[in-house]
Amino acid sequence: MQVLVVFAHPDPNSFNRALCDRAVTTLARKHEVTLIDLYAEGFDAAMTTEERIAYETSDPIRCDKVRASAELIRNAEALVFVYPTWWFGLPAVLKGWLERVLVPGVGFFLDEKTNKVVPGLRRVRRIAGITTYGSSRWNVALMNDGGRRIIGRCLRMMSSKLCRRTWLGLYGMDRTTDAQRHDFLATVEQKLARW
Amino acid sequence: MVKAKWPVFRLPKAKARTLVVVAHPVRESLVQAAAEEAIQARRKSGSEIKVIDLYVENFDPRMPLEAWRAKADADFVERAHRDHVAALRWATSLVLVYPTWFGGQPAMLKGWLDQVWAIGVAYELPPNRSRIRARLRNIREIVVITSHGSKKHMNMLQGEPGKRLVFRGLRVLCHPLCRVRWVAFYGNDSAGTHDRTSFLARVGRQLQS
Repeated sequence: MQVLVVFAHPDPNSFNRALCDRAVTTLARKHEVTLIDLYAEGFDAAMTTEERIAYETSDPIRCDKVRASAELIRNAEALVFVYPTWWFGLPAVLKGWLERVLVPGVGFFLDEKTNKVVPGLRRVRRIAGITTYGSSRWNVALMNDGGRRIIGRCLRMMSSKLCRRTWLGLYGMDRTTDAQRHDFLATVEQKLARW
Repeated sequence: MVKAKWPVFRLPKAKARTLVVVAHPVRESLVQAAAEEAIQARRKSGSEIKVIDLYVENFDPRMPLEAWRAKADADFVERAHRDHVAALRWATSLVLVYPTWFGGQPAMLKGWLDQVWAIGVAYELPPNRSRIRARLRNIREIVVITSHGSKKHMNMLQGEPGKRLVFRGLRVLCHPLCRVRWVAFYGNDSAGTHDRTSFLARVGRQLQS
């Protein structure tokens, strides 16, 4: 399986980095893995004016980094997102990556006859989110988990009908002990090893 | 018979101060037109206005590494985004104008929230407490003006992450009685000119009151 891992954390010494490394090494045992490190790549988060104007034309991609990502996601059969949850949602750089890469022609197509949206990521059979939350599980449930909804629902709608989801979250990050973080890394490895 | 007239005590009405935050890259878009309409309506109702257009200011939504490392340091945000912090503390009414992309706020606005609505500005964590305390108690009203490409039922299937972020996440950091108004346009992809003009009129009506 072709797996695309997207990582969005500014700090190369963070726990999120450790999660990403663990996910990549685990998956690489059985699958072909490609990693996109959005901060290391210097990916611009905001959609530009030029891109927004080109959005409805037949050639909506105007930037080489976006084109490279679009090529990778077109070939991917599984997507893994590793990010910290900020403000009950995705960090801006990851949100911007979705907006700029999953344009018409990549993420979805508009059927010209019915004018309806047709999913564009039909090859994607698996989606996983690996994230850390500052708040407790209760608080996240009460406030809303925007990242999980965007990845688990919006992106799921663009994927294969048989696509399966995996969600791995570490809640109350600031109050966790070393042992809990080790356990979580082990859980990530165990779950992804089954793919 | 003359009706007895009860004396009416009216508190002097505080002057409204509106902060408008706009995030759309295209000047000629529906969202920018709605922002213009909102500003006009607020001006007519006698409110003071400040506008932050994130694209015009060339705001970088990516959280820089220094900002991340200083995430427990309240002074850092005040130094890095002095004008925006001052505007947030000044406002009694916050108007967010943005297109809904992928179910939520566009990266530009999300990045602004990530960076500016930080510790010391939006909330504080008193020592030995596990719960945060709201700091933006001056904001008594949040108005969201947003456009959606798809229909309402599609957004409900997606779980409306953008709406929840405002109604739950942002509201608790404002005044305890803070009102949220949701002025949304659905189905922009299939809408006609008439739908758009009536949306703009609705924005004007909603913001004058």
